[in-house]
Amino acid sequence: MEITKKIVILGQFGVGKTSITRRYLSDIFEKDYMPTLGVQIKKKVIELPSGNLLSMIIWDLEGFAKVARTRASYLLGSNGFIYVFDITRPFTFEHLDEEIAFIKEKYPQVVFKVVGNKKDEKDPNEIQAYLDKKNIKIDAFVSAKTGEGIQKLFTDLANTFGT
Amino acid sequence: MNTQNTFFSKKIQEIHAKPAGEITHSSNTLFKLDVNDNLYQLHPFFESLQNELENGIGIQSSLAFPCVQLEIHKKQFICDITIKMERGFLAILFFDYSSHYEHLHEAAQEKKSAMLSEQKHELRIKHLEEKKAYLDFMRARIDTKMIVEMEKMVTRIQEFKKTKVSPEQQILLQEIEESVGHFHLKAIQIREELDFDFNT
Repeated sequence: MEITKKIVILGQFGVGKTSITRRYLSDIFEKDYMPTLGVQIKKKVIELPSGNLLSMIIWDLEGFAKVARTRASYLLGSNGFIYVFDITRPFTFEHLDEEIAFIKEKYPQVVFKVVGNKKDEKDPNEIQAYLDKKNIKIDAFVSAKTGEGIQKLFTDLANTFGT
Repeated sequence: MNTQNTFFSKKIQEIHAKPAGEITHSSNTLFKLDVNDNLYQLHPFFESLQNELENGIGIQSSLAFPCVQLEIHKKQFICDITIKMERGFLAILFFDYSSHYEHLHEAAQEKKSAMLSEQKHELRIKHLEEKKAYLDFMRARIDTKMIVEMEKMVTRIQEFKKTKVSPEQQILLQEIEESVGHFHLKAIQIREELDFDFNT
């Protein structure tokens, strides 16, 4: 049996959404920054522990300052969100608590992961105190550049879909 | 007028499909599709919206998806996509804006690169301000807690030396005074190094 799930990658511009997607799909990393316009849609089929196939359709969106400003049509039919922020740029996580609250309120049925990217450039412990103070729970700190944590991120997400 | 019609007609593709996915009509302007092709197998864009399009979930009358990067049968276009729910079928329009978006891409890259530089600059300024505040705090502590206190100690030792003390005690007091004087000098050097560190 094959099931299809739509995963949307969210977050501000330059946080590494496309790099994370590319690392997961093709295991490559490109240093040069090329902003995404609109949406790029890619697909990867993986086998679940049950033996069933999961078709993950990944919508890599253009960065928006706030999720509320993302076109509703882009988010239609989503099964999973990955919200990415850049641990080296406080601008990308200073309103993270509000973003998480917004997503949980508007899309309560969507599986949701929050990840801090670029852990190869900065020790995540340096921002942990800030996150703890604001009571923000992060699913993972990853690096699209080295690949650390990327496979696990998507595998964990896939496993939440079960079957 | 005819020229305009020709230009636009080459940029727009209209597709009709049953909600179950069977394509019933395609103008084939951009992508060559066959009648009876399955819409949901054309591209992951449609596959991921199958449930919504089949069942009309979350769709009022039409949906608009600007700037979707499509590759179908090895042909690539950047399109705005409109999907309209008609009675018994889906009307899909692809508007080819590839040239427009490619041009926009360059502008967006310049703009966002500039924004990244600006954020980096702001972050550096903030970091410098925090560093300055920390160094001012450290400098003040060195001044009040170390240098001033050691100066007081030297004054007291000198006063003590003027009292009736044995020659051995004089020697000991002299050594203590020299040690405190040495620490005092070191504290001043550390304070000056803080200034030097900040200025670099």
